[in-house]
Amino acid sequence: MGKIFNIQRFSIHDGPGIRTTVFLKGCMLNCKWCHNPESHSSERQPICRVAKCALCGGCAAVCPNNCHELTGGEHKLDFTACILCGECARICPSGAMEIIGREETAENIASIALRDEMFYKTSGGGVTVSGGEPFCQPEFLFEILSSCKEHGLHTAIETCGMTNESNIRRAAELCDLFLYDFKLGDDELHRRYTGVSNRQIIANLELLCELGKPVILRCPIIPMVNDNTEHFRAIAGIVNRLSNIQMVEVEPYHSLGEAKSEGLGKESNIFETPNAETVDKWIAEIGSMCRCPVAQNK
Amino acid sequence: MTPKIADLIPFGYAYRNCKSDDITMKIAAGWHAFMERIPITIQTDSRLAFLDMNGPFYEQGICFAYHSGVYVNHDKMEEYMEAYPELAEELRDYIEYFEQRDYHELCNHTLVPLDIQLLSSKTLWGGHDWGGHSNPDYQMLLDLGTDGLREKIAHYRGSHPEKSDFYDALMLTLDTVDMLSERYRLYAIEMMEKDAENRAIYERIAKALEIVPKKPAVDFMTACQSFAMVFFMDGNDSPGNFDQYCGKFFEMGDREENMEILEGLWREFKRVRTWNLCISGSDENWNDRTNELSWAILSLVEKYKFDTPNLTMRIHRNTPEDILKYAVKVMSAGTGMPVLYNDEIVCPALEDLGIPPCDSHMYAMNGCNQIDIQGKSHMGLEDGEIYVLKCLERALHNGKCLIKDETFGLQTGDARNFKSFDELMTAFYAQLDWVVAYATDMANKYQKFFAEYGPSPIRSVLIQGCIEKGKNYKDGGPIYNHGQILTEGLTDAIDSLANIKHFVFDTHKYTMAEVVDALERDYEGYEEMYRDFKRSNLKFGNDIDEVDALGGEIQRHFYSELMKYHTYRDPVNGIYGGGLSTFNRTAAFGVWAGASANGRHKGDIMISDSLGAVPGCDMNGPTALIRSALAYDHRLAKSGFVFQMKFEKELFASPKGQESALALIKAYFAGGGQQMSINVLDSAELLDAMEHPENHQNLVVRVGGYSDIFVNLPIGLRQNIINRTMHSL
Repeated sequence: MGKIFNIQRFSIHDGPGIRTTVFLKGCMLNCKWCHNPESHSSERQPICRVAKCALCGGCAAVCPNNCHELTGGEHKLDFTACILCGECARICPSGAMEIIGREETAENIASIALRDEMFYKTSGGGVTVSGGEPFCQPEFLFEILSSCKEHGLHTAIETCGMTNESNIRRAAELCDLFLYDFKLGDDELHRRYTGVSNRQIIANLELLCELGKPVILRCPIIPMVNDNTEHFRAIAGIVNRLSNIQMVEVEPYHSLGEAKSEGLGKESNIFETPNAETVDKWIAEIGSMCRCPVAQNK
Repeated sequence: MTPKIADLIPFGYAYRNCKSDDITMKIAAGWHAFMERIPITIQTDSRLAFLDMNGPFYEQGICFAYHSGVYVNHDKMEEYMEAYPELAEELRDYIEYFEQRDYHELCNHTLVPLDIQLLSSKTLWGGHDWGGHSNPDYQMLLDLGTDGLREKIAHYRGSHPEKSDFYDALMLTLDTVDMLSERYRLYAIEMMEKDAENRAIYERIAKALEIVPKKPAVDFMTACQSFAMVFFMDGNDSPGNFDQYCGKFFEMGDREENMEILEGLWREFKRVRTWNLCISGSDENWNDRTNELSWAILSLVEKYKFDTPNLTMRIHRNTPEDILKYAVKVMSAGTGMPVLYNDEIVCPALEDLGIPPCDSHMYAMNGCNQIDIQGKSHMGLEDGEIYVLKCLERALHNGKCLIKDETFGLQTGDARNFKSFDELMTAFYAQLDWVVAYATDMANKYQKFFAEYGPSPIRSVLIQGCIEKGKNYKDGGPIYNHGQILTEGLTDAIDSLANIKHFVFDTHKYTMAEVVDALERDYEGYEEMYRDFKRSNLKFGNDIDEVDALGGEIQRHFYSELMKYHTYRDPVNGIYGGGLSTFNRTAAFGVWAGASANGRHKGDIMISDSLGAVPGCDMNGPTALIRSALAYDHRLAKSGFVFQMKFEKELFASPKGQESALALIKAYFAGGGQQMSINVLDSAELLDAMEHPENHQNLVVRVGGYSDIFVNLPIGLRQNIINRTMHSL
């Protein structure tokens, strides 16, 4: 049993083929550009998707703690007063109110994943465990991966790599592919922008290479943070050193986390969204230095 | 100067004054008289000579069309009467004569009040105003030429001496084809001098017409010329398996020249609104029949992006991967065509009707989604239509139409007193079965009128069986004469039943009396029930086993029931089968349904699109939708069982989007799906999603480097995507 916030069927950008991606709740990093801010806390929490809200006031009428204030065409939610009863989400006609996070068993996740086995077969897909950070709930992660493996499904995890060595070893036994983040090469900057050091992360990546596990290196590129030649060189350095990295996926910053942060009552950091031309330039530059394919996840 | 009636309304005059009583003869005589007189011209852009019936023929005072038989063009007749008052009396007499032979009028005159109530409430449609599509045997035309066809007629006429007028009619029809072709040949020779710039085009046409359509085709030009002469004369319906009967010719001679001819024809197909053209597919041993012409046709779909003809591509176990990939690319680039059909389901489904594999593998589509055996059948039409949601309304309200507020037809008891879900299902099936019996009976009545008043002479020549049996195309002449009844509002009925089962019989939140009352009052005073019903996730399209199984059970019951009935065209072997395609009529049908228990208000247009989910009700993505769709027994469908997926343009254009689309198609077909089309989402739908996000919960769009649900995106980003879509279309 563990805490998840979504199971996404027909997920086509989290590893090969058509996949079912399970999003585990909780993350030990705090990346300033995070596009899944609802994943960060390991607790259940309310989200108010302002863009969907029709301002009907239904939530305010049913809320036992008067958390909803609808005035002046705005919907304000008192996050501290919310007791997560879910009444507002139940009544909301437009689906704007939602409680993020629920308990789920690994067995149930595997049975949902198995429903799409026919599509994994025709596409070369499978199951991806994502987050949050899956290693925040290591036992749950291993349970999910074992259940899926028992049914012969291809498994992948999407991770920032922040965990201990024994967890990496166990995951490597159960997982066919690692979608492994490489955010910043410079440890100082890594601490500043994510809250943790990258030493363990890099050591784990090296361990995966020793273990011969295929890795797709996922590199978020954030304007004014790591869109520079120095960082690109760091990417190439790792890639050219570790033979298990099959390709580099460049993930340009996008602003989707901003609205979600707002809906969660969190401050968001605003970065500039790069245009396609800029992204192409990044890809070309990184690609020129790497021995393996470099592409945007399309 | 006063014209002669024979010149003013040549078709009508010759038809009426034809000495024979045989209907095919009368129409053939009318046709011949018209073709002798009509001024002709050649559009050099089309590279071929043919008569476009859409202009002059249908503008005559008295007309004939394959889909509506003989009819009076009243505007034109008025015009003639004004211009020539001295002929008015005679013309009026003609109007009266032909009104008595007008298929629509004849049908309308037979309607009894119950027919009208059922028709006007859209509960059923009995094929009372539509004579149907067809795929004539163009292969036979290209193989034999009109001379060869004459020999065939001569061979069989001895066996049916009592049908000599019918055989004369077929001979006359071939003479008409040749006569018109000769007129075009002479015209082309004349134009070679007059229009020096296009001399080469006229010369090529004149040379081709020296050979065809009298003799068998010898190359791609003669094949296309022969085909076009007859195809357009028949009202440019559906070419069917064009790449099969023209494929070997396309591979002969100069490729560039052949491509030029094909492109000319393709533009004409678009201009005149040709219905359906089919490529690829398997033979009876599952050998793939894809050829160079199949590829060339796909390339034209990609190049021109026309919305017509409907392009069908037949897929099977041996379809080459490369053409399938190309087809997906073409789909993503344009209008969602080709539409894919699965031979692995369609062929066995046809074999279940007694059609042998050698013929089942010759199926082709016509019209929108109707299945025919090319050149051998008359089954590819909508014989009728049944509105399943309306049958449920009848069961819930004891035979009452909530829109008309009238009770008529079968009464199955007051649903307020139903004690179990089974009791409700029994009443629902009783209503459905009653409507099935009524609709097929009505369809048969109209088939008889068509047989007596509206057969196409060309189809009687070019559909096998007619010459052999001495019977016209509408009168059971063809080898196969099955019927097809279409389905509307099936998903709405499933969702409604699933809700009633859950809320009334499983959780007991509401009583049957409350539900019936709420629906009659359009949920007034029952807002909570409306919300429960609307927001319930017990909706088809979400891969919920219980709901999907209910859908499968209803479809099996319905289509098996249909197959108990026989057509007028062939009361012994002609079986009614079901199909499902709503075309673009979901709004029109929505207007005619009262409030329904799927959380739908009276008259609301949210009626399911073909076999898909009710818009906005599928929340679990395309794989879940596909799994739901596979709960049906597709092999029971004998006509198009239409399943539409929607992909946003940019997502579909991306390599990952195309790979995924291909994988979805393969999985759907491997799982027993019959048909799939993938529509590229247009800006209108995105705009609607902005206004009514609740109806578009499952709309996946591509955002930067990944995909997300459109309605969850911030408004500014949604606007950007709309702008992008509008820009790129």
